Amino acid sequence: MASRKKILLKVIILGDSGVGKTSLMNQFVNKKFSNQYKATIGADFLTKEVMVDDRLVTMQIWDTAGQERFQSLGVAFYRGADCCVLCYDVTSPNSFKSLDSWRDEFLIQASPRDPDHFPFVVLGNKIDLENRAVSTKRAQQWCHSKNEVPYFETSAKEAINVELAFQTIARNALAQESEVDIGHEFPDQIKLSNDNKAKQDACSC
Amino acid sequence: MEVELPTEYDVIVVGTGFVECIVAAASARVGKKVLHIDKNDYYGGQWASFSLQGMEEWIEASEQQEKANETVHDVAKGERTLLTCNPMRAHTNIKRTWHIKKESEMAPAGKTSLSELRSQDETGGVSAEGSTKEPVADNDVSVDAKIPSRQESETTSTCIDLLSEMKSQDEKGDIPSGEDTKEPVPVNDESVEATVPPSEPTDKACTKEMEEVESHTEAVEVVESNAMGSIKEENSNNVPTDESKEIRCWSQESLLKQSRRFNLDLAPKLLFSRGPLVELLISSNVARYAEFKCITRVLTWVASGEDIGELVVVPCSRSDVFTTSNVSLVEKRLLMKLLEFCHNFDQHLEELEEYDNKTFIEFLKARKQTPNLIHFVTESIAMVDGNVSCKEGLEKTKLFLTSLGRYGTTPFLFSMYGCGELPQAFCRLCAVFEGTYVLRRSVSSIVLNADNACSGIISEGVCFKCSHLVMDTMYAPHQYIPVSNASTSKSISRGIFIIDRSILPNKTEQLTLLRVPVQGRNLKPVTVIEVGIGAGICPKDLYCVHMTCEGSDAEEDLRVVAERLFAVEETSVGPRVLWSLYFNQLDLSNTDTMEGVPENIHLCSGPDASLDYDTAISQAHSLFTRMFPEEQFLPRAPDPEEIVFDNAGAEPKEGDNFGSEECPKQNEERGSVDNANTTHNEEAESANYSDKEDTKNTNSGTQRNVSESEDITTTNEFNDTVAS
Repeated sequence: MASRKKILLKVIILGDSGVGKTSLMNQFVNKKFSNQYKATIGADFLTKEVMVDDRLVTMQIWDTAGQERFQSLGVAFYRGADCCVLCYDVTSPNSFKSLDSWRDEFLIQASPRDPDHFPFVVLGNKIDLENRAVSTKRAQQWCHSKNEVPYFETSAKEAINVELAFQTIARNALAQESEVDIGHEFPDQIKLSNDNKAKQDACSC
Repeated sequence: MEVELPTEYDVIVVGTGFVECIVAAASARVGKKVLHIDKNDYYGGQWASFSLQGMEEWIEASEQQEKANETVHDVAKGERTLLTCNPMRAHTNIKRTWHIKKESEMAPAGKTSLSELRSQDETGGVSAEGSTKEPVADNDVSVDAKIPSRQESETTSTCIDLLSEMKSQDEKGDIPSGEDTKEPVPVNDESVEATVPPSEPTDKACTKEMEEVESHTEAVEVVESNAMGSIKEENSNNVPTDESKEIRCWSQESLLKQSRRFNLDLAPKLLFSRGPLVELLISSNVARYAEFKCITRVLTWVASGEDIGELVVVPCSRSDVFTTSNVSLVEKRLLMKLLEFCHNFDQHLEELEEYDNKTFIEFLKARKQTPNLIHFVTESIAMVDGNVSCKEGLEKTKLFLTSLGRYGTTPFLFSMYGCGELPQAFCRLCAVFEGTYVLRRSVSSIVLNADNACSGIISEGVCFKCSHLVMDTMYAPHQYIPVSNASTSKSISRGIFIIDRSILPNKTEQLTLLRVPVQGRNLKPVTVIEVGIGAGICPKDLYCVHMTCEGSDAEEDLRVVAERLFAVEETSVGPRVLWSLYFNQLDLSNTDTMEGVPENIHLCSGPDASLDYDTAISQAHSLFTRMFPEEQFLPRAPDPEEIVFDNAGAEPKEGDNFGSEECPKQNEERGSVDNANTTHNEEAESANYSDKEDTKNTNSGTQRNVSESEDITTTNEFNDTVAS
């Protein structure tokens, strides 16, 4: 078990445009919220280190970069995800209805080894708004029907439940990570970087 | 919430091939408004990677001749439209063959002769020629345990039926997974090992097999026999000829069940570790969207005698040269000296004067290289015909050597999950910089104004305006790229094979590059790439072999190499082909795509036959420069940590400091990242950007801070690893 290895968890956030995916990320990582809606720009992925049961893990949270607007997320986006966060807007019944298709899309594209137990987390965002249209009960039922997916009601604007939700995301992703260590028999994949840590010791003579 | 698609853009890009994606990313990166559109539901066009099922669908789509969309769209006065073409015209001679049976055709529980299982050629193709003809010697191998337990389901469906069945499964979210133990996959992971009781866990059987191979490999190394023993001989000598233990009884269904574990490339290519693509990925920061694996060995085929050759590992690095059993001690010294010289040949130009008009081979001979070594150097390191000029040979050799040791022991990288990931990486950058992505949307025609300049496109009845149109040549109206013209131009022959073991088994999984030279009956140099689960290309225990050469008849061009590499007869040892696909791909990389084409239409060619991406990179670069001569090509994108979001409602700040300084170290040689343990390196990269002006903050409402630049050490890996 490669427990000494630096742990990096890839978390992807899915959901209809405008449900607050970028805001949730930004609230969790930067503790910031912007009221101006901009179809996701510049938002790529954010990283944050969190402690999960005494283990330091780095969460890398990937935004859709707006490619979800016309259902054009490529398979590359889904590669290697350790957890999938499904978001909807509690004031938008349509965004709730879309959860099914986002979940299916994830399962098809990412094709996790054990689809029944892959860690999803559902976030019902914008509970600070008054015109709520999807009841907690309805959302909970849906989560129950999908093999007890954890459910949180959040407000990225008022920082309600965001921290808690991402803690759960990290924990469940970590559990997933240690269970499926398929890659361990092969050398790790290479990330190209302009790294200055040259292997000076390669030459022993 | 359904969003309306805006209708005015600076750049519209049609097709998501590699060149188009780079141009799209580069345009968005400098603040242009980009619409990127593709009629397919996948990225990559001619550069795509597919699941097995996806590939089957691609084959099916290529057979359907699309009716031209004749609906005339009203355009403004003085404007006219030209119909676009179906990009599938790039591919011809498509021939897919299943060499294994459907479950319904497999014999029910009982004795099944191996030959029946081995090959079943639906289309009557010749790729597994002769494979069923011979009676099998060991046909008493019982396959009882492996016969599908769901015979009763009467799978009489055709392959297509099966596909749709799987598709509907997919839609229900019921993902077929080969690893799912509950599944009644016939022989999914079971090893038909005669010597191991059927209940023996697979893994153990596998390990056992591995160990055998391992010890056998070591044995060969220790003996250091007079050069390369044929792998086939080795097998017959050292490994029990009990070939049956390696036979897993795959059915078409069991392969398709694992469809998504396959990532099969239409255009497989490698990256030189110090080639232009790697440098571009790093300098633009697109590298963060992609992962790579090192090619772990370079093989060559050394002919001995008539037509039978043998596969041997080419010693690349210093340690390879030391440990190889394929060259003698004397040769090792010679080779080492030669490689050292080649690596620094430009410092010894005076020594080379006498070879000015001589060939590379003449130079090698003068350096007292043995025929064995000359073969290695020309075929596998320089990868040239020996008759090229001395200078070209040296340059190619140097390219190979300088790329060594940066990431691994060979100079090459392969994109994880297939080469189709790379176009998507550039698309991601484009999207992050506000590019709009729309798949599954066809473009029926382009609109030309009275001055014969392109003013936009028509897609599903809507007109989209643009200043520049970037387009895959295959989409382009036939007035620009006539099919007849295309048919006379160059073509690439491709072969994809799913096989049940490596072409040269090793104790650990290898990623292999093999160049088969022109020799004997093989008339064209063929590039062979073998990848497996390690690169995310195949399910466990299977390998994918890609063959590429220039030519116009894929099956014929690749026949000899396929026959040599794969077991074509029942009795022969070697990988069995389970599935194969041949096709030809038009190569317009050298075609003039500007003549007669309006100045603001920029056509991108598909892949060429070469091993690397150099042509695509330089084409993308020159197209971009033609469009925006004042702009920088893919300056470094900021790291996410550098983007600090403002407080609520803040207005975008003008003149943020991102990229405002010139970095003098831009072209300095970069330090090496030698190994795999740097996978998740999150440390700030040295900031090598040189934006002349900030081009990207007008709209973003974000403020970007730049991390401190780090010093870069200059190293010379080759000297580290090879020279002393």
